Amino acid sequence: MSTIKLETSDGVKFTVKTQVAKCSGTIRTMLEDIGINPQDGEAIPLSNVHSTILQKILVWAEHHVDDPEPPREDADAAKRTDDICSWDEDFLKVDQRTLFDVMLAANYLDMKQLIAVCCKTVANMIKGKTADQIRRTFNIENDFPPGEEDKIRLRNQFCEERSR
Amino acid sequence: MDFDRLPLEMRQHILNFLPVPDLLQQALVCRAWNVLVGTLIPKRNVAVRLHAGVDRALLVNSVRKYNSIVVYLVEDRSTSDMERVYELIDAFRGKFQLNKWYIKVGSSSKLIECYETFEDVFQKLAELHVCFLPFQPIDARDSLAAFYDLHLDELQVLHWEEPQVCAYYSRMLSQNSTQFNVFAPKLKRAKILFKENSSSAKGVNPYKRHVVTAPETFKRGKEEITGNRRPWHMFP
Repeated sequence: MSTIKLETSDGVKFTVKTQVAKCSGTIRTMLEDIGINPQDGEAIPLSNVHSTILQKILVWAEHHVDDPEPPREDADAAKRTDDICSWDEDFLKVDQRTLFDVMLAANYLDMKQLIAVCCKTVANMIKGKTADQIRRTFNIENDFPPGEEDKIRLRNQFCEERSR
Repeated sequence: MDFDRLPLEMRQHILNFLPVPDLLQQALVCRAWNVLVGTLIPKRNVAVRLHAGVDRALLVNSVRKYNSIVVYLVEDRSTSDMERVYELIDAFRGKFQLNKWYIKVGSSSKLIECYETFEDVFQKLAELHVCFLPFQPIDARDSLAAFYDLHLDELQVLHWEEPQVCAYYSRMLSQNSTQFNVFAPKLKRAKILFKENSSSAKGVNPYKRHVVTAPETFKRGKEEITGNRRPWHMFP
């Protein structure tokens, strides 16, 4: 089984199965299109990813390495957030900081499935909450000038969703 | 503030998973989220109801862009109410790219009036949904043409919904109904629905036969037409 080396921002080197590393679109492109030769023993630098986060992401990639290509999503289709598998659910039971770090790393590494499942997780944290509860959950400051919030609330009243 | 660290497309990705009522709630969180939600509104099939009570400045002076409106054109509104609605449409036409229009309409005459007032908007519409409301009071002063042509040059999606005319009212309604000839050279999808009226399905108005002129590329079978008399002709 072929392996490659990855080097994180804090200088830690990981030896990873090539197949697992290719869960990342970024690494796949480096290997296949740019023609970086992993046999040279030189590590691929991932300057945006910290070792603790890469560690975590590799666990996810290892578990999902044999997943089939997901079907192309219809842009108009209703988006579900209740289809996160229980393994992923447990995997993402982390503090908010780590969750967002994983998302940023997944974005940099171009891992669409991991991005989707993280976004669904965050969406579930938002769903059904009032604006005030959201602010507390994500520690966001209410920076509206006085009166603006009421205006938006009014605007919302005139909005309705239309079925297609 | 961890949320701010995420790139824009990721924040959009997250909000795309939310149903519209939740999405609108997010606009109240902070300025950045309000802007973000504003960009998603045209993509999420959110329409604005324009009626006489809406404060124009409230809707027009906002970070939101709307491309889709819902308008009620019914007879029992006072004339000044209708004027206010038309003013609102006018303000929207100047500010936004209005390309989807949902019309709830009481009578053919109201639809024609609206079409004639905003003919230029109609000609640019990509989607038109017309729903005739049942049993609207009829204005006897209306003297209507038997035929009326709607030219919808850019229209791709047409939804047309009408209650089936019932026997008791058929004579009265036939006076008030016009045959619409819809010219839609770019039509891709059409859904025409004549709602069954359970008590008097036999009383079909024989005069009403709307016509849609679709492009030659229009795929037959893409149109869905219901109603027992199918009084709708598709061309070609």
